Amino acid sequence: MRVEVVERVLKANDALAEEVRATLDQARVLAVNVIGSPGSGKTALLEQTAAILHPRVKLGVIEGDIATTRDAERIARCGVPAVQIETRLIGNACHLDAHLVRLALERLPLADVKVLFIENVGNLVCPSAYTLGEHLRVVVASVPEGDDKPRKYPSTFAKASAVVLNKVDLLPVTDFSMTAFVEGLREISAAPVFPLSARTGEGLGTWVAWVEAQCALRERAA
Amino acid sequence: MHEVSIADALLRQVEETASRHGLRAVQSVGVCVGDLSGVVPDALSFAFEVLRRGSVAGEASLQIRASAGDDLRLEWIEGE
Repeated sequence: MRVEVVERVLKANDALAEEVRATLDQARVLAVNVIGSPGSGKTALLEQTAAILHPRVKLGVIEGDIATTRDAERIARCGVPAVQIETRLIGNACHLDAHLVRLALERLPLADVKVLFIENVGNLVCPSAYTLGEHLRVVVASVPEGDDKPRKYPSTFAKASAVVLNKVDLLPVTDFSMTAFVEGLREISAAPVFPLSARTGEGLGTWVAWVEAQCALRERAA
Repeated sequence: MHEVSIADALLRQVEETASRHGLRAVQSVGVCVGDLSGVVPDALSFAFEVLRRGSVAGEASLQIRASAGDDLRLEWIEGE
């Protein structure tokens, strides 16, 4: 006997993600899934974003790493509530999933959070397949990684709501071509690109304004 | 990269479907894997072979249909 099924293999994750989204919507929190390679500057971006935005729009952060609580400690030093997920405790998972995010949410003061950043495990491949219940996905790339990344990791870049290109202060000492990067991205995505440097602060204002606008749009829709 | 956890989720889904339709043994399982799904078909087949032991799909073959996009779906199961 043959039984036709046709359902997503990750439907259990999808169902949990819906629960997470409902919890976030009820608390009127905008959730942003931050995806990027190890070392692309995801945490540095969040630190700098917190310095500018947290005084007027309350942030919260979930940090996903294989090991250590370093990133959550960095974020907590900015005065932002942060929860660390260490995937080494659950088989070194190469990505976060909705179940882990649901558990982390219980440890955050959601009533005091307007924008929740979920920093995924540094990886341009696996996080792409797992929805976490987020409203937006931001991919953080960086100049030293090279300008070919959107072409090489299309599944990740294609689903981005926005792309941050970090470390533009290094442009003069690399062969990175901004034109090649944007052209590669445009083959698969119309997402806005924010070239910036989390180290020098260049370009951060435009990125922060975008986050704030997304938050306002969400408020209005609610 | 995480094909083992995918195969694990897939087997759970197969067991659930089999029990819903009263199948005691599943002989083959059809999945569709998109080229943007991030899943390597060979790695998925290997993980499935390792994990199927002792499940309702203990002897089942995995038939993978390649597709475009980021699909990763269980399409059908066959058994009795």
